[in-house]
Amino acid sequence: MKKKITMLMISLVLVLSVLGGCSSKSEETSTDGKTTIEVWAMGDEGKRLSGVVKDFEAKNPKIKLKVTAIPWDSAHDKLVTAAAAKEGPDVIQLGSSWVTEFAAAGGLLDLSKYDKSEDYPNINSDKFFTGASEGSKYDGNLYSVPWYVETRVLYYRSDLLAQVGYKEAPKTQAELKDAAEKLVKLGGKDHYGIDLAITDPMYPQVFSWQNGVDLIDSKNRKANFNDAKAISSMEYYASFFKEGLAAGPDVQIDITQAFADGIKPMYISGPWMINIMNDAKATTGEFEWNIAPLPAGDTDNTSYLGGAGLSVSAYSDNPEEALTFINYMADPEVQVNWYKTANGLPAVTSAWEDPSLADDKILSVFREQLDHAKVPPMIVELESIKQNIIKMVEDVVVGGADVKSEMKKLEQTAQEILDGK
Amino acid sequence: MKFRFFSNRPYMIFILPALIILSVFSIFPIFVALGVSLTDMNLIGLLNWNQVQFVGFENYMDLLADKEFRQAFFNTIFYVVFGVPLVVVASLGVALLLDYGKNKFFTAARALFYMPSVTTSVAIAVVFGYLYNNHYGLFNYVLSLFDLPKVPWLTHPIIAKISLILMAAWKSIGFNMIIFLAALQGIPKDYYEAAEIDGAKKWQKLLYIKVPLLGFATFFVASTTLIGWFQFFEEPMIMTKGGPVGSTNSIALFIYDKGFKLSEFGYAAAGSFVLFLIILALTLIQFKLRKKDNGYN
Amino acid sequence: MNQQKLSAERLLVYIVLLAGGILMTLPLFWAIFTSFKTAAEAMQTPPSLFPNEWLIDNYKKLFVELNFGTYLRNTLVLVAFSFLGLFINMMAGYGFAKFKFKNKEKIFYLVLATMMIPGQATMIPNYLILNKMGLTNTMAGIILPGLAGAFTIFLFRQFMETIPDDLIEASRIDGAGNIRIFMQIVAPICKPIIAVQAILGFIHAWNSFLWPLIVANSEDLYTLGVGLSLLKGQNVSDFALQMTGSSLMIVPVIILFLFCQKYIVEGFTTSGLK
Repeated sequence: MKKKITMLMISLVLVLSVLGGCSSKSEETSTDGKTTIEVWAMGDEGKRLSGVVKDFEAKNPKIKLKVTAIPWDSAHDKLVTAAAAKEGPDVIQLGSSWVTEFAAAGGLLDLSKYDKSEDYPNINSDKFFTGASEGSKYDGNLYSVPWYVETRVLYYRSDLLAQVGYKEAPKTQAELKDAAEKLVKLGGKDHYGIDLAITDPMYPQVFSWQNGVDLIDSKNRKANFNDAKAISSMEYYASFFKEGLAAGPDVQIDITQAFADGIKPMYISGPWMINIMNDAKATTGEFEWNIAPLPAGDTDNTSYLGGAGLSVSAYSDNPEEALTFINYMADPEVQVNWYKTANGLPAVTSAWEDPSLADDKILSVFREQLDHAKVPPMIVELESIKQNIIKMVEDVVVGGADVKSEMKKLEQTAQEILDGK
Repeated sequence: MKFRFFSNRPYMIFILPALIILSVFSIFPIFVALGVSLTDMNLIGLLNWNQVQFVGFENYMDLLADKEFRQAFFNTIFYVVFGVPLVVVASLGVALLLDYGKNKFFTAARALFYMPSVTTSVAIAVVFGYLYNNHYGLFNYVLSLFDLPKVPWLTHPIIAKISLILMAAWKSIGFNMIIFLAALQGIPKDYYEAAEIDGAKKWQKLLYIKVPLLGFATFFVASTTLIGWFQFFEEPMIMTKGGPVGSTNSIALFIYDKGFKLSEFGYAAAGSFVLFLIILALTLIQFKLRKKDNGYN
Repeated sequence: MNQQKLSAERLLVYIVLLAGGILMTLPLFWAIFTSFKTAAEAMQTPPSLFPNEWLIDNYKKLFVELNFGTYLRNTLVLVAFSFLGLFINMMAGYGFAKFKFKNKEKIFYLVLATMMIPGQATMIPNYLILNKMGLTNTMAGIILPGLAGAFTIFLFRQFMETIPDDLIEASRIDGAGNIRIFMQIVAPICKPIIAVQAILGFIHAWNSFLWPLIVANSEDLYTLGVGLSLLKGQNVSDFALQMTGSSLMIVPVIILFLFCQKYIVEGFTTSGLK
């Protein structure tokens, strides 16, 4: 017994040291004159990015590409620890709020001087959707190059809306509410007009944008929650819950099914729902659906723009090769292929001329909305202000607090956060 | 020289390997966390250490004034006060039931009760989400069969806390029951035989032999469960995100939100340290009580 | 008469255990059944227990899309080292249970203290330490911090304290050294606890996610937990596929438990402690 365990321990220790030796072997140094570029991309998208390696390496024989997929679940933790140790990849996939966070901390390379440079023709902020370009900048400098985008549009049950007199989707905020009221009447008990999650701070911002207010003015670092239009936008949003047009947090039903059953005949979401809707129609049966750009407020019909860009780490030893890769990913043809492999919508406007995108009726709605889509303000304090917005919405919708006084309080809190108090 | 060190201190051979690893990867980081809690460390500071400023006890002062933290603190106390006794009693009860017989049925039942501890939290979250669902949930469906009103399982401030406690208890019974079972199996047969000769009834055997002899196991389960409930995190995180209106938020979830979502490392470290001190104090009290009351040894 | 009363009581025990057991395993079976459903059926409310049609597409997809072999190999290495960790903790537990030395209580409290600080607080310091040691992006870096654990040491100490000193003294008089006493007397008595801890350590290593992800900068070092979570997209994830991954992870643990539980029950009855 004793001998066995001693042997086992010795062999385990041996294995441990061998494993340590093996994997710590640095892959940065080239064996054949090639430079290795490490790319971190997230989740399923990251997994699929490996698909471009072959084509990229064929076009750039001097660069070896190593793609590592990072699960979304703890991607932020991983990025923070890697940055703390001043190591990590050459190229990182980042959404706009993470660009802000890491750029402010000095973890990303300033790419401003490469914008519109001859060496990297595809890195040109004019070639992307305006919103996407905005989401790549922090403090006036470029820290990221848009990769793929998404925006939110209105999904609606065209059959049910037709029954209440809407042959086309609602075009204004007033029509949206009117349609919701009629749909509730049509559906009866336990039916709603639209799905608006109270945990998503996007809605107050989007409705305010549509009425011409930015809840946070990032240039002047000023909170605008107490603005009259911000308050009326918030009241508009809250009224859906107060009047039973949107379900509060106590109604827990998956949106796909609620939509198919007509319980929630409208909702606002992104392009990933297209396939889910098609599947739902194929399996659960008879219903008609369509999408439309968001209804407009007093000013326009601005929506939220998301997606991701590619950034170069400030600790990268090979920034030029990293940029070569980023330049490659922003090529219109590669962008179209990326749509075909991973359903990521092109961030480069000219890529949309490809028939696979231009001829698709559903996608053309997204194309239209992308011209009217903004990223949230690029400020470091965004996340903590967002949490305060969620809390405020919860207080109003669940706790029944007064919108006006809550918005006044929120403006104060947000301004204190912005002023670093 | 080296050998004399060990022959004079034979215990060293046994505790040294563990002590070295713990010192490097657990005890040293505690002091790091203590240091960080006295600074304004955030992501910028983490990447550029020269920008970190010493702020003394400011983070701790801010914590005391933070409404959100106070709410999380009282919620955590609620979890501990109801969660610890529930888990200890339920695990012991299940263990005693499982110790009742020795055939295939009991072997199978033991496995069944252990299953929640190995089930992934994603699956648990979804199934409990369904059970607790206001409109379509199984629990409310059963209630409706008896003409009872719907219960807002996860959306009422107090009921939501209880729902989360039940869920966590359900998950932790398996492991603790195994500890009790292992201890029950360890009670020497002679004790029972002696008691049977004295004509003891079943419940007497239970009360006077089994329960006292489980002292060491009970102490272990109680003290680790106490620590576990103070660090209660996963259930509120996956089920309610701390809501409604912060009523299920726990200290650990508060720390996670501040540290990993907002990158306020200094503030989060201060929160961790407060939690650490509370647990340390209560554990020391438990150990002192245990010493005084060392019944059977 | 006595016979009858007994069987009524027995029946009650059976019913309680059976009802409890079903409640305990429902989510598990639901997860396994869901792995055979389509994505749409998995999201249905109220959910169906059995799939409309038993499909193995999810399993196929999982094996095609992920580097399962690599993940499994890494996970098994972690599991193997969790047993080394078990041994280290068992030794420490014995040291604290059966030796008297200066400051023993204080050192033990220090060990316990490591359980009380939230893991989030020590994660970044640990990573920086490993980085200084040059162990980031290595298997050793993933394994090392988890080798010793206060929880396990505490459990062994609690258990070993009940071993009568006479037993150990008797062996010492027979001329056995410390190590031999530990291996030949103490270890066999601890079989039930070793079995309990082996399962726990196995589950822990098997499900490990966050630390391997933080330390590994390459998919070559990913564990099953990390690899399977790659299935999640930013906005949508295929629920049935996730359950398939979960099922694949749960089933081996159940098998191990069924194998080990024999020791939990029988271990003590064969020991010298009577």
